[in-house]
Amino acid sequence: MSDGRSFQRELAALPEIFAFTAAAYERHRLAPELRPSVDLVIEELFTNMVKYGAGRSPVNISIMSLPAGVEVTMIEPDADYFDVTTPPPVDITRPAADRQPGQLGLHLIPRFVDAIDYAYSPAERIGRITFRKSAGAGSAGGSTSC
Amino acid sequence: MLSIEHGPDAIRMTGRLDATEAARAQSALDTTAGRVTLDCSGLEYLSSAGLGVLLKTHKRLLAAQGGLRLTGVSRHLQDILSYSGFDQILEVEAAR
Repeated sequence: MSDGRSFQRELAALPEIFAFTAAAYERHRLAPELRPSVDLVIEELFTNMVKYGAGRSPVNISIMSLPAGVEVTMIEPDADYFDVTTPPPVDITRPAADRQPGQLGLHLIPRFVDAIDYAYSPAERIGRITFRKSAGAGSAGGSTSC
Repeated sequence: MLSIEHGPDAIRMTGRLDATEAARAQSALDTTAGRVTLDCSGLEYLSSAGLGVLLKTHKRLLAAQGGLRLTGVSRHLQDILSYSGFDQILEVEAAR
């Protein structure tokens, strides 16, 4: 079972996205404790597309129920290649005075998923990100592939 | 949706501090000075946009010998603070 919907590529779409995930969680009776992590990863990926993506086409988000968790797929049309599974490293040990908030979003993502995949079609210029999160799994230690 | 209350001892944020609420949260925290306590016991959600608000506020307060202290921090928020290294920058008190 899955739900899918397209969202305008603008920050103002975030409340609609969270309402969509809330409805999907309720409809498919997904483990509610997964939702903060799933919403976090969706927000970080979506805001990255809004801020840095070249295209303006809507982003499609689908949520699929798994036996013990959830799988989310985000499809970005008009996309340039950008593998979100290999973000630039962030030094989280620096003192406050030297810290900048940028890039923390992509840094956090692998800590809150079990697995994340990135695929890109150069011919269609479509980026596709799929991540999975299961109930009972710790926050850290996701795997990535491309 | 994020609710912000200025109490006598702390600022209390309730709800979700995400990218759409970050500017409003920043405006509220920009009015603070000294050692500021942020009661997070009602904060259900925090993204990197919210972390940016906390960092900017803490750096401003630090420059005047103050700082930002978080109380009532849930397990999920603790994870976010830990993975971002903010638990080493800010004073963090877990929820009871």
